[in-house]
Amino acid sequence: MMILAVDTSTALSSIALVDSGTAISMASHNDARGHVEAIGSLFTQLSLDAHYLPELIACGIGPGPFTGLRVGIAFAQGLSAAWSVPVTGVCSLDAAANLIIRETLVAPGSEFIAATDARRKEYYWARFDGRGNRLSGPRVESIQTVTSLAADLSIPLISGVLPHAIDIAARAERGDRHEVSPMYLREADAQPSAPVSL
Amino acid sequence: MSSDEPLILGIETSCDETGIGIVRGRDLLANALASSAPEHARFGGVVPEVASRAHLEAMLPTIDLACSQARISMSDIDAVAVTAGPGLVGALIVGVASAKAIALGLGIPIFGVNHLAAHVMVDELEHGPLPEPVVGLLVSGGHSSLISVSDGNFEALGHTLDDAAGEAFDKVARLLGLPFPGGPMIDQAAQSGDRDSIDFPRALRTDPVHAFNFSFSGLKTAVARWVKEQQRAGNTISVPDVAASVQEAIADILTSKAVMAAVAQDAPHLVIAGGVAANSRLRALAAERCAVAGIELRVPSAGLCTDNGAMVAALGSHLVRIGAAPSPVDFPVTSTLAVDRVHF
Ligand SMILES: [Zn+2]
Repeated sequence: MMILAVDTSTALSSIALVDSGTAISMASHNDARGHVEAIGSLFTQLSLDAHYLPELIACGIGPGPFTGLRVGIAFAQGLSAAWSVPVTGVCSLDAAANLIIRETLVAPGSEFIAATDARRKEYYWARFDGRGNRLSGPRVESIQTVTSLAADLSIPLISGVLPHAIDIAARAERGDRHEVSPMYLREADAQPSAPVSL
Repeated sequence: MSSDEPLILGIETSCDETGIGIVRGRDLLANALASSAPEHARFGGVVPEVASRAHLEAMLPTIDLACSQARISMSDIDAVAVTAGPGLVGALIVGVASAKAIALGLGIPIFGVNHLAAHVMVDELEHGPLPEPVVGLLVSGGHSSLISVSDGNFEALGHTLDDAAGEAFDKVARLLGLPFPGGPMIDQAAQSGDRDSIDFPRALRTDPVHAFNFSFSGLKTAVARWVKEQQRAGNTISVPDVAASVQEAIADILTSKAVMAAVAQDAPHLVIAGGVAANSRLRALAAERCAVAGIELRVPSAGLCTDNGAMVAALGSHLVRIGAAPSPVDFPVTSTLAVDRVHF
């Protein structure tokens, strides 16, 4: 299956065209703030065949810092509208687990916790079995809590991995699909804006 | 409708309205809107994160609605225009990311445009080509600006130094115990009041340095002080009289400066846009003063005055018509984009 995948749930914005597990082309950009600027250029770096559209668009739905996260989801939705191609959501921590196994960052078959930066001294995290099946999470908790949990369970905590769109595509191919709705895990800060007086 | 003119999709997400407009040339085909306003009411102001979440959710359904209103499919669209600023960054980002995907997916040009310029340009959809030079008065909860358009250039003549006009209405409404948003409530209460009963201040009326600037924060203080004095004296307060007098003070200062700006610019036309343009006293006073000064007044209908996608499409259509270069794919969103930057 030809999948176009996008993820902006971490500082790494990435996009990839993947055909049945084989990456045809991909592009990425590492910048915690510039997602909306970068996403268009990343798309233009893909070698897309004008006459052959992907059958599915997959996007990382987090958890991740909200503003950046929404760039990838909005972009995926926009492509889906332009092409009339269905779009699906993939948990970005599932993608992180895929990367951890793909890069053998843990011993093969070992259970582990995958964590990404949630700012405010917290992690977004989820626990996986050795084949990447999510056992619990995603949740957001203090770095300290997650670290002691991993110690209590005697399983590795792999933090700071930056999931790539090719991992989003892999999880979508595997059928780990969700509604295209951000996994916020936190309530919106209910602070009215300072007015923009122009 | 001439079918050879380009079909433009406009996307607006600068505040709490997800607006999708479709125009062909200067013909309005669709103006679909989803609003998160009710979710903000209890906070007494727009909450950026709540607005951003709502934009992402509303985007595809609102695009679908606009396409069916216009009886077109996405592949018919010739160019995309999207608000790049000014506005709330998190909210703008949702619109810009969606717009970039649509333009790149369809292989068509994109224009990241200025929200304020779009407010002026939308008038073309109802009243035909905008004659130049023209002066625009933009009044809403987020902005109070005077703009001139001459030889295709947009220039800021002045703006509010503190609160926007719509904010002044909101704050006074809160003092009077009227619900949010305050503008329509004050307008309604004022109908049975005497606008000459209380003489509230007109700030910066005769200040030559601030000839085209506004200041509304003192008005709220003046109303608060007046209410307290009346209560202390044991007088009953007539909400309609206060509402009518406050409305008069705001409408007076806005229209006198707008007409003065048009005269100074030698502009025979004045456009008033933004949510506050719906205010009945503002419209009446503007009509009166424009007639005296020999200026033609153009006010878009209510649905085109408040934030909407059609205004963005109208500005995009204008840019295509004059052969403007499309925006680069990496254009940013800018919360404080100045009006002389009409597009990226
Ligand atoms: Zn506006």
